[in-house]
Amino acid sequence: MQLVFLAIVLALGWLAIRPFKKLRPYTGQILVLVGIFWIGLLFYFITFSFRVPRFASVATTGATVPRFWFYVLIPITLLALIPMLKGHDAPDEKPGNVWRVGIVFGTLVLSLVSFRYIGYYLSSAIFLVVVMWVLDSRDKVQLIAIPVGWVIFSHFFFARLLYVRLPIGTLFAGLFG
Amino acid sequence: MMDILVNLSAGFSIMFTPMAILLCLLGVFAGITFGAIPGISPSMAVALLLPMTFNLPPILGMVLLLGAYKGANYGGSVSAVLINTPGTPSAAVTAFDGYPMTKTGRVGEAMGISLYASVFGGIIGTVVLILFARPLALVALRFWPSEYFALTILGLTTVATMGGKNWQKALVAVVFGLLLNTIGMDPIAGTRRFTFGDIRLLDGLSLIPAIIGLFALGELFYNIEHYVKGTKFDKLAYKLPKLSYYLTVWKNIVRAGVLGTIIGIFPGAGGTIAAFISYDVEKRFSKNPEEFGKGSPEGVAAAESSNSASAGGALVPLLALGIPGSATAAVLLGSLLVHGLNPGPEMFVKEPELVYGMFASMFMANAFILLVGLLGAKLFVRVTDLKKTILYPLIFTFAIVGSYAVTSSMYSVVVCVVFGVIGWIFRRYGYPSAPVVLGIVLGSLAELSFRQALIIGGIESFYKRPLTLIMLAIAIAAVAAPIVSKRMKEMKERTEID
Repeated sequence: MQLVFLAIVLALGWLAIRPFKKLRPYTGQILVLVGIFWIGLLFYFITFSFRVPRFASVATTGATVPRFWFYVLIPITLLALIPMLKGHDAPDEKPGNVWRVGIVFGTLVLSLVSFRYIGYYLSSAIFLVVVMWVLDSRDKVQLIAIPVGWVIFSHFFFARLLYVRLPIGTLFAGLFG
Repeated sequence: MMDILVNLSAGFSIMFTPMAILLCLLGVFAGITFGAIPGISPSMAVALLLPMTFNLPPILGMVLLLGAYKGANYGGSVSAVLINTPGTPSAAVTAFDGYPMTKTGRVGEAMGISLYASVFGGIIGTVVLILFARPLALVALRFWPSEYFALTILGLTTVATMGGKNWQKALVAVVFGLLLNTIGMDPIAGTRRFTFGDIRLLDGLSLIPAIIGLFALGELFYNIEHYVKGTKFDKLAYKLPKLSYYLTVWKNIVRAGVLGTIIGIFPGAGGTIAAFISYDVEKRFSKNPEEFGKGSPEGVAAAESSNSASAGGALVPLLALGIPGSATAAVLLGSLLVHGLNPGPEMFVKEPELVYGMFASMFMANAFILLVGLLGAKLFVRVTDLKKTILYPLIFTFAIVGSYAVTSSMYSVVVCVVFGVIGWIFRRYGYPSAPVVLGIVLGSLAELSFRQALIIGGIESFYKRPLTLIMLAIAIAAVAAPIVSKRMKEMKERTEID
């Protein structure tokens, strides 16, 4: 829910910037500021709903420090905004291949979600193949050897040597468990 | 002084046995390996080796663990320099300049400096530990919460130089980190803050996954966005520089080493704060401050030296007073207790051979770090020989499994990925990521000490204690100085143009 609010705030911020030609080159930088300020503002309002224990000190409560940091954030945000308003800051850099990042990010998220079902080993192997493919690797030997090598390495190093209990997934747990 | 030398020679006589040498080497090797893996902190590395010490005599057990501790502190810098993925939180500062050096083909130089700075910083820390353990520990204990708060503020002021031209954005980033740090249980009254009903957030955000995300994933997303098929890294200079080269940074190593040891002594401060503050100090002293963050050898030297020296500092309160000043020191304390030993002032009198044997083993561990580092450097740097199509996906998987290893839960992985996206956005729009780490690292100590000071002495404690006042004044000056000098420079330029 909070993420939806953040998205709405950023969209409104974007709409607010559009009419000002001078500010358009800084759209991304300003939206980062807006996002951080929104998080600070959200935290600030949430502090009023904190349950303060009876024994809590009069001098400070759990709300003291978050509020303090928000008060600090206000002038600092304005300070960061000034060079952009004056046009002194470097403009946003031109975006590269954002789609590619989107694909890699999506694959990463899918891979993490699939840990639960097909386990770490298989999903990380699939993830490696997909990302190598997205980065234009077409060498079949590499596309097979790297994921297999990684699975073997991660099993022996992390699971066997360091006792990290990597998820095996419900599928394999059902088959071998 | 004579006593120290006699005891130290007795300590060395223990160390020059085949078993002690072998265990020290094993500890260092394991420490470097674990430390280089993102997610395995020095305390985890030491804890993993702890069961091996149960059947060993106490001194040999400590030799193994101290070797691992020192090795892990250095190991963290290897992955930081090579792939911008700090193996340990303190190595994040090494990555500021180490990775840009690698990207511009100076990987041998970066690896060499981080190795030598780590070794000599470690030696400085050990010497200070031997000479001043007790008096320094007593000074550290007299610190009030207000002084701890002033220390954290001093640490936060490093942001003023960290941002360079983008200092306003660096300030925003550090406050963002401080705000994020308030997520979780309030440290004094236990109030739930900003958890949105998720109990996994009660402990706050995991630091190590956050750092891995900000630095490794953030950089990866950015590189993938700008990836052009067939591109390779610049031609790399693998060769380590000649010894004379390191003399150019000896002042940085010594200053950062001393500072790192002093900061390391304070319980809870640790190597990360030491590395941040030393980096900032060296930038101020440097003739080329504009190179910091872009591949400055001085920056790598400062970060590594102070980080390594702080390990010696962290042992001061442990050995002199029996108080563990860091997570790793707590594991070491556990090991001593398992063997029926109680660290504290009496241990220096009752078990001088053990105490000075440990000191001697720290010297030996430094020598082995140099040996393993020199032999391994050529091997480590070959990582950057890999094609980007292989290296990038592998860094992803390393980052994910490293984050998972921290708490053995998907929560750490989610934190890592979220911070990866934040790191990417910050990188795209010119917001430095390092201040976010600074805010998260210092936030807890700042809040705890600030509120403790208010409870104990009220607002007066911040201006009635001279040391607090001095430290706060230095902090204000540290922030104001670069801004004022920049303004004056601009005004001078304007008058010259007029």
